[in-house]
Amino acid sequence: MADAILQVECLMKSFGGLRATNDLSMNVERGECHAIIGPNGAGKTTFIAQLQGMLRPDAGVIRLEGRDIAGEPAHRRARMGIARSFQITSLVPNFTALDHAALAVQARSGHSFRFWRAARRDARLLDPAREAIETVGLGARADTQARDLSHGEARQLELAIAIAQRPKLLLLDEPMAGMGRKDGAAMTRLLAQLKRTYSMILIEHDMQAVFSLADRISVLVAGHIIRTGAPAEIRADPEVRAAYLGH
Amino acid sequence: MADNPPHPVRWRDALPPAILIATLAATPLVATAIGDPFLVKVATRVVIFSIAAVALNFVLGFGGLVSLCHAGLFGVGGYVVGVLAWHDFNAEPVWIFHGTSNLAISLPLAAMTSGLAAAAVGAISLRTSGPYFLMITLAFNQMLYYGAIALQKYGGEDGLQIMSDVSLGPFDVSNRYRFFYLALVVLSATLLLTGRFVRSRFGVALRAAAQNETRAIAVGIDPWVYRLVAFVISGALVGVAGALLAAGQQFVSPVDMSWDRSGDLVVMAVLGGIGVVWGPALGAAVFIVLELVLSSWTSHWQLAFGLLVVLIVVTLRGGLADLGRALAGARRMEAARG
Repeated sequence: MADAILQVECLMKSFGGLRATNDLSMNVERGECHAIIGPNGAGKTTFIAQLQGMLRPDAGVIRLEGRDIAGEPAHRRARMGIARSFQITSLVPNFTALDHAALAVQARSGHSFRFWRAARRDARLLDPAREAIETVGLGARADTQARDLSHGEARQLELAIAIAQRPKLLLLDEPMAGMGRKDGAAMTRLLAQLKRTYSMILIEHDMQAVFSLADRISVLVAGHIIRTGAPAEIRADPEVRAAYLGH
Repeated sequence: MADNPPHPVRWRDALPPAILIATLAATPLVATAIGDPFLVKVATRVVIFSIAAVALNFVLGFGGLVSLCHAGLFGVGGYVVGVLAWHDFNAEPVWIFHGTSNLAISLPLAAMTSGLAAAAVGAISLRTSGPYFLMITLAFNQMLYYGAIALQKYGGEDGLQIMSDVSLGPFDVSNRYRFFYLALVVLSATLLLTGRFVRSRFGVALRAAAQNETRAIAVGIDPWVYRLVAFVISGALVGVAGALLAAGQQFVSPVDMSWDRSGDLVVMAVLGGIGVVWGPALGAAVFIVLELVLSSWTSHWQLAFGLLVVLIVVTLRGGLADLGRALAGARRMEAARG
């Protein structure tokens, strides 16, 4: 517990009468891969959006390395070390894969009030960007515009952008969404490698991937975490089976 | 948004603006040859509105901000030059300073003043987006417009005549030809500057935020500050254009600040192509020449003009700047067929 990278306490978020996040508390230890599973509509993406800062929680505490960040805007949280890969791919259509990663490197290496030098000739941006692109296996497609990437490649790029940010905490919102079996397996292998380097929260519907990757799993039902434990415990838990795994 | 590939500069990207500048540079020679000095006047107008349209496009094409207050900012620049020249001519100090007809002083002051005005307008307008941004900038444009009309001391609605000869440092630029080349140098500098800006880290951040704000924020870019700075740069540049128009015509008037002039600048930019830095310069040239030619044929020229603009924008999605690429594409297709 002493070495928690992320601590969430009593987080609340309502949309009208719907309690999307209801007294949610959890923590992520340094280097941990913490999966969150739950039925559709349980509030997983809403939770991720509050961690990233796109959504403001109504109440609660979010601590990154002990510091409360619940009031910080999203762009500042990104600079503090929170990276999110989106469930629905979010790219700039006419930027190449490499441009995306370079943008992330640029954003983390201080302000962008530099007006003269061409950013796309700047080795300080391109070298780390290329490294991130190669890490996810997109090296051959580095100079392809995002609009020409396949769905699987776009998902890989989402991850490359997050890695290029060199985050302390990776928020992965269904990284395998819409991927075929083969691409999904490749993504699982990739995440297994990355997991040693980054602390991460993983939301995923592919249970095989979740149980093979996660160090701990939290089960989210109606905005509240009903159980947290090692994969084996979660698999055996009768309440979890009833709420989610049973069907 | 238009196609703005952020790749390094290639020589062929620099070719169209170079041709544009060279063509413009040759017009005084043509004017002398055919003995029609009016041509220089038209070319000067083209150059000045090119600067304005390129300046606007810095926020329009690359920042994704449709501003309708740029005619107002254009006028602010013009009034700085006009008012300073008025004080110079009437030997009446502006507070503790002397007036001046020296553009070496009044041009930078015009840029600063319109830049400051842009900062004020931007700081408020950029809290909104889309149609709201459009309406707020429109409102600010009208405030500047009526502000100029309220300047009774400086001619009010009738505008302000510049009675003194404008100079640039030790050089007399009241000569029509010299003034034209001065404006052309400013246009070249504007193209060069904005070209660099667009490809710099600043430009990349600005464009990323314009095309996918969520993505930009997620990697740690605060769109607001970059948009504001871009707006100030754009405002300062458009102010320089306004200052040049005032100095060139020896006249500045609220008419050039009305909101439909802001609309004209947007049309110039879109017509020429908002995806490339030099597109709006081409658009301004075509706009002004067409306006001149069509209005000499018929008083209903705007009807024909409107149809032409629609036709061009619909057939060439990247504006006239796309013409070369479209022709090359058609030729390739033909070659493939033959």
